[in-house]
Amino acid sequence: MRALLAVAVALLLGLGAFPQGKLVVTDQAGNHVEIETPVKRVVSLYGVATMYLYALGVQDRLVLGTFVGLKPGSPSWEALMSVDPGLPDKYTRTKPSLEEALAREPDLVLASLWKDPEATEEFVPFDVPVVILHAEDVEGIRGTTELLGRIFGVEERAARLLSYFDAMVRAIASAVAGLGAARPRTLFVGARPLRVASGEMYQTQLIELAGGDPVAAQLRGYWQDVDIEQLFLWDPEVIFIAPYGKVTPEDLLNDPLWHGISAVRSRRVHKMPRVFAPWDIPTPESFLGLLWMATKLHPDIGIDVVAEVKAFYREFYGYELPDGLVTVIEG
Amino acid sequence: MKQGAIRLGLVLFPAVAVTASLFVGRYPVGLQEVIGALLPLDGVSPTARVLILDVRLPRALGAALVGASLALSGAVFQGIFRNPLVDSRILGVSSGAAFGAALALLLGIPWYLVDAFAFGFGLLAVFLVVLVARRFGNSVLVLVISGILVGSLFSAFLGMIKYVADPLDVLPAITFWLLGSLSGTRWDAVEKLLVVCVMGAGTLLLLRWRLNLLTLDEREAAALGVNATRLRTRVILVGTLLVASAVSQAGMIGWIGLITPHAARALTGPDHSRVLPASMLMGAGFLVLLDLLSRTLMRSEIPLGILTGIVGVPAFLLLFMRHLARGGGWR
Repeated sequence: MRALLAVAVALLLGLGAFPQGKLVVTDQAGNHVEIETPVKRVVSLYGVATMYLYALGVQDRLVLGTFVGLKPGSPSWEALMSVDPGLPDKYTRTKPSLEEALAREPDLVLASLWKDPEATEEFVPFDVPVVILHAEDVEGIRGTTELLGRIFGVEERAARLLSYFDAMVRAIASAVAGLGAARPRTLFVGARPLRVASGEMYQTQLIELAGGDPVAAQLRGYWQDVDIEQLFLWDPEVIFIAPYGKVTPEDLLNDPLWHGISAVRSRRVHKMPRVFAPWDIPTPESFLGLLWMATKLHPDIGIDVVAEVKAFYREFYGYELPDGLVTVIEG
Repeated sequence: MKQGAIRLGLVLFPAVAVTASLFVGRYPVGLQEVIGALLPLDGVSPTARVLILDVRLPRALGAALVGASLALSGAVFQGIFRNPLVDSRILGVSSGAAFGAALALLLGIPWYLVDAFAFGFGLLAVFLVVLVARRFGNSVLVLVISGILVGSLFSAFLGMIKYVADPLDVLPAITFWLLGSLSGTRWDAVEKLLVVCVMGAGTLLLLRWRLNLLTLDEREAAALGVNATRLRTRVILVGTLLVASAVSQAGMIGWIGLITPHAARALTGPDHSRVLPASMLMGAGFLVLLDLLSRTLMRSEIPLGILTGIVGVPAFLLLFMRHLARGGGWR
């Protein structure tokens, strides 16, 4: 009796929300996912993927999401608020529980291959399709952008984002080649001064694309803590500091121990900016991180980074970069 | 004669370990340069001088002091609780200190105050334990149970902090701290450790005869004119200071406080006047050697808390098996 009732209800609901279209995609875990379009209510369990919705201009479809190191009231929060006034209602600090996610009645869930590979199974009983994404390197960013472009019906915008990226990579490569300059030995530092990005991380890819020589490329895994002697051995000529964490260039520049390192002696220590998300996280904003890195590694490259950044935010996010952030980027 | 040789060996062990660590590191510094930096002679490169005098030397001394403090506190705790399975964790010091450090990192308190927080909360935990114990009759059993309870409470708070901490910046800092490391130990840290270690060791060595009485039944001790409760409280406070100081500088380093006193007892017999100094010297030497491994085995640092377990436990198992095979025992 109860089963019969359930079937009846399901049929009624199914008739009520008559599908306008069906899309079958292969997600980045290799699953074939059937999605009813248009997708109007998205829950994102993957902070990196959440940022793609903003870059593709479909942030109004987000109903609940984790973000990347976003704290309410911070400058990034204010920036996101100006392009998405509904932010406080959809922001979640930690990954939402299954019930919390279902309570938002999503018609699509985005999850991370790295953190939530089992999300697909979890949502099966509730008939909510899950797309697993893996935006952790250049290849992954490309796939995520294209896939989300298709799912949200904004293929053209996704294609524009990617061609912007390709054009930038080409421009930097030819400019660096044109300069005939050596690739500076470069280190990417994280939330502690002696915590460095390994060779398997996106940050190392960014250094290579920006025309640097990543000294920690041989390290495997995720962030690695190293001894200061290892730093002396590498002797980086440029040090980038992650946008998050409390490490500042002054911490390194004012520490007598670090004066043995070339980058510190020549004061080429730079903290990476963040606008919506940190620029070293594999979201579309990281294209600007790449551009910014290239101008720090090769100051004579002839790129007006501020103009480029302003144009990018205007075109893809409808966001006018405030003067405060311009100073950070120039710094 | 045999005791004399053991005594000499015990004193030489940490001295040799510290000296050895000056010569070994990832950055190649020649034998002559090390000696030249120490003496000091001319013709030593500035990098080598900084590495030897401001990196390797303070780090080795810091390791020695942390090892000595942990081993000494372990030895007295095992004595007064008449239990060979006891170490600094028994009274909740470590959990309190860990919570304090995590809280400081979560609240974004400056680096140099994190160890003060660890120290303060380590003391607070033991203060609570002693308070509860005093209320309920002050027996060893009540002390141990309230220690476990308070420790568990702080562990739960710590878990809560880890759960809400930002995975980009705060969580890695907490994890790094919890795994234990002497990375970045400078002279100011050595000074702090030295003050507490000297005060603690001095007090406990002065009390060494009376400590033997604490291993007796309380009534027997009273008959010999010792107020066991008051003495025990005093010793607990000193031991706590030692642990809190070590943990606040080096994070959570297990095992040393538990096992070193057994090794010391195996060598010197159960008399506290010999076990205490022997434990200190062995703890110092072992931690210096383990720290040497932690900073040289790989390009990245191996957390000390992991290494003490992986290298230390099997080494001591072997030692014990040989000791038992020869018919030895320990209290």
